Amino acid sequence: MSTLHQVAPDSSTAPRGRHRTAPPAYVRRDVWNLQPPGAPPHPVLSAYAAAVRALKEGPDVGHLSWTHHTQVHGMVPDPLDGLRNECQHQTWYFLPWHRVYLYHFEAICRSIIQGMPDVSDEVKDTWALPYWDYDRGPADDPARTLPLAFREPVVDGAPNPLFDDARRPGINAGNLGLGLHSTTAVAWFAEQHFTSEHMDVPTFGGPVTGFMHSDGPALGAVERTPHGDVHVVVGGPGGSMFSFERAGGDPIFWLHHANIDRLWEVWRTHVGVDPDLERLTESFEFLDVTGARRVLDWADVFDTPTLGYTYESTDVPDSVLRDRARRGIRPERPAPPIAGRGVGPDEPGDAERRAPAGPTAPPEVVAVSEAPVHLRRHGSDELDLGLGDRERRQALRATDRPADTGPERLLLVLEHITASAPPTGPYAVYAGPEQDEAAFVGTLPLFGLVESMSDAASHGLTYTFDVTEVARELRAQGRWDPASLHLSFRSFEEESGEPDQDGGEPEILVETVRLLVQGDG
Amino acid sequence: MRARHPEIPLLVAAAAAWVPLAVALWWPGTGGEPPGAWAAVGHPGHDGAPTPAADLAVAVPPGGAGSGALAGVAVGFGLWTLMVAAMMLPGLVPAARYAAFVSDRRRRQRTIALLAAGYAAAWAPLGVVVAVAHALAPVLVPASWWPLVVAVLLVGAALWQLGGPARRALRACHRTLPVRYTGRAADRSAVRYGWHHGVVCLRLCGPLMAAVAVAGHPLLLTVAAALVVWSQKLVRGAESARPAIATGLVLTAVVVVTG
Ligand SMILES: [Cu+2]
Repeated sequence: MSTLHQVAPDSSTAPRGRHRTAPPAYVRRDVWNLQPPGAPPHPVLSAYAAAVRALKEGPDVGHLSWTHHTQVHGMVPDPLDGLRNECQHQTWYFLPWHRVYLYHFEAICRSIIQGMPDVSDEVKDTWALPYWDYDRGPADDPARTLPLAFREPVVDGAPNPLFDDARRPGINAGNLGLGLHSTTAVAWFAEQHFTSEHMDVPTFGGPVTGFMHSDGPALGAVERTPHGDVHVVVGGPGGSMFSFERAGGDPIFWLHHANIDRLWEVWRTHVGVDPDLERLTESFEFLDVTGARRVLDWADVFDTPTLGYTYESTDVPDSVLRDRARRGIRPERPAPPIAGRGVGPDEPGDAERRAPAGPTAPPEVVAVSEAPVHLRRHGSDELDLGLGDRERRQALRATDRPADTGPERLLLVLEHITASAPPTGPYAVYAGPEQDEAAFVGTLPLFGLVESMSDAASHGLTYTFDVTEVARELRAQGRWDPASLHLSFRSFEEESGEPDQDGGEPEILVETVRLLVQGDG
Repeated sequence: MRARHPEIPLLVAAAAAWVPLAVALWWPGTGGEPPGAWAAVGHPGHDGAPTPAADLAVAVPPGGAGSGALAGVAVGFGLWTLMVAAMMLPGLVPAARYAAFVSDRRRRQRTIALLAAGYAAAWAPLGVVVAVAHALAPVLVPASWWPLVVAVLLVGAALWQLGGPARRALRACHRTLPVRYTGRAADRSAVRYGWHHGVVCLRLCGPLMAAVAVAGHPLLLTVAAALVVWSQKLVRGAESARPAIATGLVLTAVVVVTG
C-alpha cells in the first residue's frame, strides 16, 4: 500500500521566487529526451504503459477506470453528473480545465505506479507525465513523429497499452510527422493577452465565456495551433484524437496535452499577462487520486509549482526562433513590459503583471465575404475580400506602424464553418495566391467541427487570426493590395503529400470570412 | 455611445412598447375599454367591480361574436405584437450587436431594423392563433373555465421548459448566421438571421408567451415572464435555471386556479 509522497528530484529545478520554499516539484520531461531515436524505452515510459494497462483493465467507472477518464472529456449522451462530458473548448476555460484534468490523471497514474512491485524506487518517487514537444527542429526532425513507445501494436508478445489503432496510418508507422505549420508557436507567442471580452479578438487563451462543454464561441491561439492541428493530424478522419468523445482514450492524448499545458508556462515565462484573478470565479471538479470528488479553483492553478510540478524546459519554441531568423529580427527581442511568472500578492510588481485585458472597443469590420468558400482536398476555392476606400485606409493604417509598437491590428475571422460528413483537416490559409511562408496566415484544424454542428452545441466553430505581420511583410514585398484581400487554402493532403483516404469527399464550407481592424480604443 | 452600442435604439423601442401595453392593460380605469379587447373584467373571486388585471387575476375574454370578434382579433394581434416587442427585443441584443458590427457602420441601424422585422415576422403566426383563440373563447369555453385553461397552458409551458426541444433551442439561441456587409445581400441576410433567431426563440419561449397572452397579460405574470425570457437569453449558465423556472410556472398555475 503506497501513499502519495513527493520528493524533490533535483532542487535546482525548483523555480525561483516565492516558490523556493514551496513543496518540491515533480518534473514533466520531454518524451523524446526520455527515449531518443534508437534508444530502448525509458523506465518512465514503461511505467506509464503499465499504469495505462492497469486502467484499461480496471473497472468501467470511477477514478481507476480508463473509460471514465475518456468520458470526462466527452460522452454522448451527457450523463449530467458534473464529472463527465465536461471538456472545455473554444473558451478561456480550455487551458485551466485541461490543466486540472491532467493533474488528477497524473496523480492517479503515479499512485498506480507506486503500487507496482517491479518499478524502481526512483521512478516511483519521481514519476511525472511526460510531454511531447513536436515543435522541434526542421520538418524532418524525428521529434515530429509519434514517440516510439506509442507505435507498436505488440510489445514483448503482449498488446501495447500505448498503441491506438484509430490514428492516421502514417502516424503509427512513424513515416508521417507533424508539419511546421501544424506545430508553429508564432501565432500564440505573439499574443500578449490571455483573454478578451470580444469574441473576434485573437488571444492566447480564448475569449471570456461562460463554462461550456466543447462549444464556446472562439478559440485562443494556442488551442488552434498546435493543439487542434495535432489532434487532427494524429487522429485523421474518424480517428480517436479527432473526436472529443474518444480523444482521451488515446494514450498519446495525455502527452499532447501535457505539452499544451507546458506552452502555457512558456507563454507566462516569456510573454504573458495573466487575467485579473478577481474574475476567475470558476472552479473545476474531478475525481481525485482517492476517488473522491474534488474541486479546484481556477485562481489556484496558475502556477504549476503550487500543483507540485514543473517542466524540463520552458525555452522559447524553435518555430519562434526560426521565424525571427527568417524575418531578420534579432533573437534578443526586448523583454515585454509586463512579463514574468508568479502569482500572489507577496510578489513584487504583481499588480502590473495582472494588467486588464486588451483594448475595450470591439474591432471594426472592414470587409465581409459575399458567398461561401468551399474547402477541398484539391482545388479549394479562392476568395477576394474587396475593400471600399474608407475601409482600405483603415486597413493600411493598421499595417503602417512598425512592429510591436501599437495595439492596432488587422484581424481575420473565419466562421459559420460546416461539413457534410466528418471532415479531413487541417487546411492552411494563405494571404494571396502564392502559398509561401510570407503569405502563411495559419491553419484551420477543424478539430471540434463535428461537435460544433450538433444541436447540443451552442456555437459554431470560429477561427480568429492576427494578420498584421503577414500584411506588413507582403506590403514590404509589394505583394499586398489593400483594395482587396485574396485568400487561398491548401489541404493537409496537399501540404503533406499524404495520399487521400478512400471514399467521397465531404463538402466543407466557410460561410463567412471577415477582415477587421482592431483600434487602440 | 451609438458607435459602441448600436443596440440602444432597439432597447428604446422595447421600452416604448411597454407604454401602450401599460395604458391598455394595467392603467386604472382603462382596462376593458376597447370593444372586444382582452379587457380585464376582474376575476370572479373579486368583489364584482371591474378591476384591471393588475395582479395574477386572469382576464376573462368578454362575450360577443360577429363584427366585435374581428375587431377583437385585430386588437389582440396588436397587443401580441407589442408584447413581443416589449418582452423579446431585449433578448435580441446579442444578435443585434453581432449583425450591427458585421455591417458597414453607415448602415448598422438599417441592419438592426431588418433583423428585428424578420424576428417579429417569425412570431406573427402564433400571435394570430392566440388572438383568434381569444376571440372565439367566449363562444367555446364557459367563463368559469377560463382560469383552468390558463393553468393548463402554464403547466404546459413548465413541462416544455424542461424538455429537450427547449434545451436545444436555448443553445441555438447563441448561434449567429452569416450577415453580409452592404447592399441587398446585407438586407436579405439580416432579415434571414432575424427570422431564424425568431424561430429559435419561438421554440424556447413560445408556450410561455402564449400562456401569458391567453391569460390576458396580467401585470405580475407579464413582468415575471419578461424576466425569465431575458435571463434565458442574456445570462450565462441559464440552462441550470430551467427547473426553477418550471417550478415557478406550476406554482403560478396553482394560484390562477385557486384564485
Ligand atoms: Cu485537446
